[in-house]
Amino acid sequence: MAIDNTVLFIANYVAPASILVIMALGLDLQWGHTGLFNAGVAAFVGVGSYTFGMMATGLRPFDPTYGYPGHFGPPGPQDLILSALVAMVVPGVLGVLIAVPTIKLRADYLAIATLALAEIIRIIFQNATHVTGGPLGLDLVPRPFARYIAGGWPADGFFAFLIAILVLALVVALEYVSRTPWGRNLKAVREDEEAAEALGKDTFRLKLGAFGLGCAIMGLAGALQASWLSVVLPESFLPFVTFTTYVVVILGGSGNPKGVILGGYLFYGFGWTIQQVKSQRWFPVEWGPRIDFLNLIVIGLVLILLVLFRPTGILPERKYVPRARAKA
Amino acid sequence: MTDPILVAKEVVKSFGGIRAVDGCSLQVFPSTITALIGPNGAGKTTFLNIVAGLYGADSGEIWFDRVRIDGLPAHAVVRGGLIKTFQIPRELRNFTVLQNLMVAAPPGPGDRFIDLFVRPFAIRRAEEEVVEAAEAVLAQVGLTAMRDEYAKNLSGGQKKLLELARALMARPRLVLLDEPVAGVNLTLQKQILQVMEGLRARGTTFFLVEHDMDVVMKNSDWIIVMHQGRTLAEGRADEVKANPAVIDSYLGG
Amino acid sequence: MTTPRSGLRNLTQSLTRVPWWGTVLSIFAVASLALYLWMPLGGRPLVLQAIIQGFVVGSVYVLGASGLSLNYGIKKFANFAHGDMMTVGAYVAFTATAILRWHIVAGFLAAMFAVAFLGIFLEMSVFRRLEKRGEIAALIASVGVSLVLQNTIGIIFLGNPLYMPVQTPQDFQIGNTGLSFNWFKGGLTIALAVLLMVFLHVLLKYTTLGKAMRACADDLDLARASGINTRNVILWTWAISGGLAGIAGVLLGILVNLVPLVGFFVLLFIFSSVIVGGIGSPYGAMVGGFLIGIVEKLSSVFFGQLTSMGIVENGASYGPAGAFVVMVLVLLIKPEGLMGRRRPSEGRRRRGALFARRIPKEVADVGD
Repeated sequence: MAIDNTVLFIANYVAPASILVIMALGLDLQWGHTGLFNAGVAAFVGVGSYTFGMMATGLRPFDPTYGYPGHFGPPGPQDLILSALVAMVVPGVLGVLIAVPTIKLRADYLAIATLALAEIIRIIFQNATHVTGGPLGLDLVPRPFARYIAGGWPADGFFAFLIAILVLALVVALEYVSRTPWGRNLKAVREDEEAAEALGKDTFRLKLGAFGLGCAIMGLAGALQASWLSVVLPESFLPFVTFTTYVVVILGGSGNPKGVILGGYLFYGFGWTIQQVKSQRWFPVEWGPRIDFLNLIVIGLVLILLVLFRPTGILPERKYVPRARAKA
Repeated sequence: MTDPILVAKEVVKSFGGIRAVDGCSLQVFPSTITALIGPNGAGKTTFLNIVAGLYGADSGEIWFDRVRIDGLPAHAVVRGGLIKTFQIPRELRNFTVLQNLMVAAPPGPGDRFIDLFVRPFAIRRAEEEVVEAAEAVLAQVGLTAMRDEYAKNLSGGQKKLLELARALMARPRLVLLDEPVAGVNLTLQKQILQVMEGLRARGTTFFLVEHDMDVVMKNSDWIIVMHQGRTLAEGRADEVKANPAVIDSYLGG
Repeated sequence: MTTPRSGLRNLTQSLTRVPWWGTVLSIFAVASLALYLWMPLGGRPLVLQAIIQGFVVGSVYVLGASGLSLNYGIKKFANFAHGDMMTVGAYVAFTATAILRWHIVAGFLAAMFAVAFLGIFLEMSVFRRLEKRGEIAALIASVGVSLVLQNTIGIIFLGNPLYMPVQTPQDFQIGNTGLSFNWFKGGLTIALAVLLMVFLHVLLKYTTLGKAMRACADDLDLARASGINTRNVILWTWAISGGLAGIAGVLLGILVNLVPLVGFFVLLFIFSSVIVGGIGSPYGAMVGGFLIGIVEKLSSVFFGQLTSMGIVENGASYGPAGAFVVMVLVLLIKPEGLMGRRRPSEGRRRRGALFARRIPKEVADVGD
């Protein structure tokens, strides 16, 4: 196969799958580690996307005919890094602000509250046209090093490579966090919050920290998505995105970052395979939409079966057994 | 005359219309095993929960070693050196026994998020020390064999031991024990009491709620009797046993 | 010692000593009046229009929320598939009326029975097995059920909007106020909702089943110990809540149109109604449903006016946002809503770990 097609083929799997994985890692920190049922994942990813889009696109006046809002400044490689960082900080801070009043809620109430807040945010995305571009969204979001790398397969390949490294770095970082006292405290909160409090842990602060950090990671996913797709659209942030992320976390193994990666790449691989099958025209074309529905039915069934029979996922958390010290 | 390590003044707590604790005042002295006894509904567990910071008192003062602790959240009280165990053990089920103890360790590097990326080597060293300390406590209570078992797989008595061991990991100066030997067989009972006595000799204070009068009378340095939300009497075992008011309300005649 | 927080609690406690309908009516009246006066003269009919529309759409919420509340009260988990059960009802009615050419009444009945049986099926196949596993496991499973239901409908009917074949007379214009009201759609919806709520009230208050349902919602173990066949009561609850959902779905299909996500779109509104009205109280859900519907429509008018004033863009679309904000505020300030009971804090002891075993009913630490 020609190199350009191979690279495109691989990149078109690796990049979006990795974005999903990063979202799931953020959720895993909140829910898998700390037991916080955040049903607003889509909104935090969206805030990251829009923030990155706004910061990284060129300065141009609002054009009413096109409807595209102008934003903050010409992109350059260093500016994209700054944009990405801001795209992590803004959802992180927003997450902490939302968490302060809501984190005390029971898990199912927290789910409903965060779902409702996420919908409000999405409605804002959809309607605040002068800021977010409304239904048309943001356009022309740049890729990193766009000036030095040609478009097409080199850019896609490089981006996929970059994002894979990010995933790797993130997983290493989260595995490390998992093994530290702070990470252990988060899991203690998940296991029995009152007991953790009675053992000296400031559970409120721990929960805020986990929630905020998880939202920042989701923001990173959003920024990467904005750059990959080069557009930011409000319908990318429907509750469906949140549910999908939960499937990934549960499938892979909640509380285990390595499991979550596996779950993410596997899950995306499944959907991606379906798309490949559709495009190969092995089935009649008019079955196309039906195949999409079938895809989602399978996802729903998988979720039900997982909850019923294997809630710990493919790679459950491993038991912590430190090396036995030689007895003195 | 040493100063008391714990002083409660006129503590009041109501639930709905019921005054569970009704103006309770008492003192606990350091390096003692002090027992709090009384009939069901006397308010003992509620009082312990208030001291530990798990409930907020409606009014009254609580002083721990000359620091006022009423109104502080539980985690702050623990960091001050006062810890409470639960009557029905609250083990962290999906943690190993060792992990349960490690959670209870006093705060160090690695408990603050910033430290994770600024002081990774200090954290690694501290973790090794915590593991060592935890293994020492396990040896003390006799749970070494269960070090890597999930806490949910422990027997009832072992969970009680774990509850005590966890409290000790926090290196407290005062331990509140809510029925530490309830439902525990005699061998384990002896073990628990031995551990307590050993630590008492080295300066730890124990303040326990217990219904087993045998255990209380044989092992306490001082007994406080609570009735209907306030203290009724106190003294050494023989004094309390002979107190007519106590016999009337609780011990039975 | 009085702190600011206990002061607020005292205030809300005294507010609740007013009978519930007092609180509701006064909040509603004050808000509507304020909005009415604030609107420019030309826009004032919109407020009245919003209130009427609020009752109409609120009726759908009432039907959905009362069923959900019954379910929540006994099964103790938030059923995220409830909206999609409504969708099933709508599509069943569509099949009956558009494809099989039955009368619309038959369509309603078909929907009611279909979703009732669906509820029973879901309980027996999925949710019964999750009883020991805590509320989050059931919630997540219900998300899976939701996906299955909405996409099964999609695979059968595809995603194009469909229309319920009912002859509806034109909207009735009320004089020259610019208000319009569709007697058939709106009136039917409100009438059905009221009728079914009366039925539900009679059921809960006067029948053996109703009393058993209330007992089970109160304390399942105690109910079982007193000889109530809790298995059957649970199945009946699913059936009734499913039946209500089915009818709500048909009405929704008549009011708007049919797409596979039609029920899911109203799920959050139904949750909001349950929460505002009070978790565990079907009567609260009845009140909450109307309240949320009216808040939604009034918010739309309010933000729409802000748009005319140049403050906000596309204000009319923010109606749902207003309703959700009210819901979140209720959750944070008075989580038991208007008519629910204060839940014990036992739910906060153990976190929603997916595989947590249900908390044994420990004697609370109080009282020793």
